[in-house]
Amino acid sequence: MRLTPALSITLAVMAICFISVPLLAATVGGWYAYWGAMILSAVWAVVLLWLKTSRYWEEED
Amino acid sequence: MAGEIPIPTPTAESTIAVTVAIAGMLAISAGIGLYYFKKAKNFDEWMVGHRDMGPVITGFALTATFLSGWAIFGNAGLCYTYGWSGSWLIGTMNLMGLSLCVVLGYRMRRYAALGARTVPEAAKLRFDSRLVQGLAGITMAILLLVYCIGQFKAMASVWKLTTGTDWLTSLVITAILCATYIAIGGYAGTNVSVAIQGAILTLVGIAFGIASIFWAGGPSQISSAIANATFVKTGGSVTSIPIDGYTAPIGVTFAGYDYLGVVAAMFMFVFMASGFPHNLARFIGVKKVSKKDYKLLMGIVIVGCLTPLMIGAMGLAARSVWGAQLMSSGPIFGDAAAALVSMAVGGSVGGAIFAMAVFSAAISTLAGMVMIMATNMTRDIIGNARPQISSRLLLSLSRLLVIPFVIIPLWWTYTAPPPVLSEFMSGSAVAQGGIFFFVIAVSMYWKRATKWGAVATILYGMGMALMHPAVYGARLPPFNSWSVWALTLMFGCAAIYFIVSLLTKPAPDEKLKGLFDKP
Repeated sequence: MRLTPALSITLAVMAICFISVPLLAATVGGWYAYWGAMILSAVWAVVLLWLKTSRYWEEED
Repeated sequence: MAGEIPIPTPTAESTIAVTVAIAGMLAISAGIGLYYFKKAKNFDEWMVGHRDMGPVITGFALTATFLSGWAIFGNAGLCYTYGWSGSWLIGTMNLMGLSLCVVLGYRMRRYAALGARTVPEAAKLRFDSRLVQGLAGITMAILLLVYCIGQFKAMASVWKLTTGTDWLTSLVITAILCATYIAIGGYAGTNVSVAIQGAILTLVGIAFGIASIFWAGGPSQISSAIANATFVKTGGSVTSIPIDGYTAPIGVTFAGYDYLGVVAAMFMFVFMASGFPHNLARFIGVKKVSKKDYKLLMGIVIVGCLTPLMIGAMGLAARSVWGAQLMSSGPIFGDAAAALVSMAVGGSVGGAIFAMAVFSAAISTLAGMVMIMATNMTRDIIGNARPQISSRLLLSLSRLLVIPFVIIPLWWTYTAPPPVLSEFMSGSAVAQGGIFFFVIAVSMYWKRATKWGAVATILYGMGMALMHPAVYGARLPPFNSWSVWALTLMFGCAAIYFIVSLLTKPAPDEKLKGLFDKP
């Protein structure tokens, strides 16, 4: 698997989502951090889905 | 607000409602199981069906096996006990891990096409090694046994709280229900019925989560109650430690103690979904899907991952309304929060529906795990050591082994029930995630991985598991800290897996045919 620009951007977005979860908790807290973690996770999942279906879809799978 | 709304107690009406709801759900699930059991012509079919499971069945089944008693029951206990800082073990970002599992786990189909019927069999194919298969089988059985305890505590607790039955009788009833259900169902049966259970727990969890927030007076009311609350130990001893932040200085064995623990808990959730053999096993029976089907599968998983947060909200609501009263009442303590809130919100019927959801989550995970442990022993250890043994005998042995794998965790739950369910289960989750995320999930994509890399990772992971703060780690600082222990286990596994693999020779290309190359 080569590090293409699409893969780099995707990984960067996923890393930002991951790091933002504790940052949100430490800075905002409360319900916003609680549901914010879910929203950031949903972004992560959608980005991952996009990467799989558009760039790394394997017909034999 | 504490004390204004009484804590519900079981009545004859709630007992009848709970019994009918749980019996109904199990009867339907067992009926489906019996149908597939009769259809199965041999051991392979009994375990994986006809490899024709679609995205909806697989999506809900995956959600159900991932969201166990920990999520649907224990999460409320976490938030009730620790406030916002309990949310790290709730897994507010658990979707990151499960979506990764959807992407990585799908390749399990290739191994199923080459004859793998269990996750250790996939490891045998991948590394061309019976040693890896046997070692993976034993490791999974040990770690899953610990995980089973959580399922029993969840089911027995909800039964006790909603019917008033004593603790031992509740456990025995739960065990009889599980053993009968699993013995009838088998894998193919449970894969369909697990999906139904997944749909039930998702809908019920989300509905009760929303209802509980309104029942407690709304989000602001809950926030202000948590802001004024302090940590209360199991047994009722009040401390001055506030629980209004996302970390709480309760003790180094607590994941939410500091941000190092937070990072460890987050990585645990990223690794564990793909490391759980009962999750990966869901992909053995899946059919080839289109991109549209695949998106549907991911969509179901995204909705399903809302459930743990909703159950956590029930715990916050309970703490807001009842204060810390539940912390004085053992052996369930704060874990009772969700079941009691469901009764307070929806009366006997509400309690019954929620109890049904807890049984759905716990029994689906338990059934998946017991099946995996039984087949680990038969196919991966006995069959591995004596390949000439008949398929029929292996099938009979698998069914027989269901009994000890139900009784051992049952006895543990009776003699030493964990005070905070999810905290206890996270110990096993760290080890499963740390070891099998690399040995199984990463190895399906990284051709350079070797059997010695896998063996070293398993041995290191199991050795480090014994350093858990509640086992030997308590006497060996810094492993008395949960965060240090968890990070050392997970990233130690990663380092050993990659370093040993790069230093040793991989399986020859002809042995890996069909696993990596496109046809």
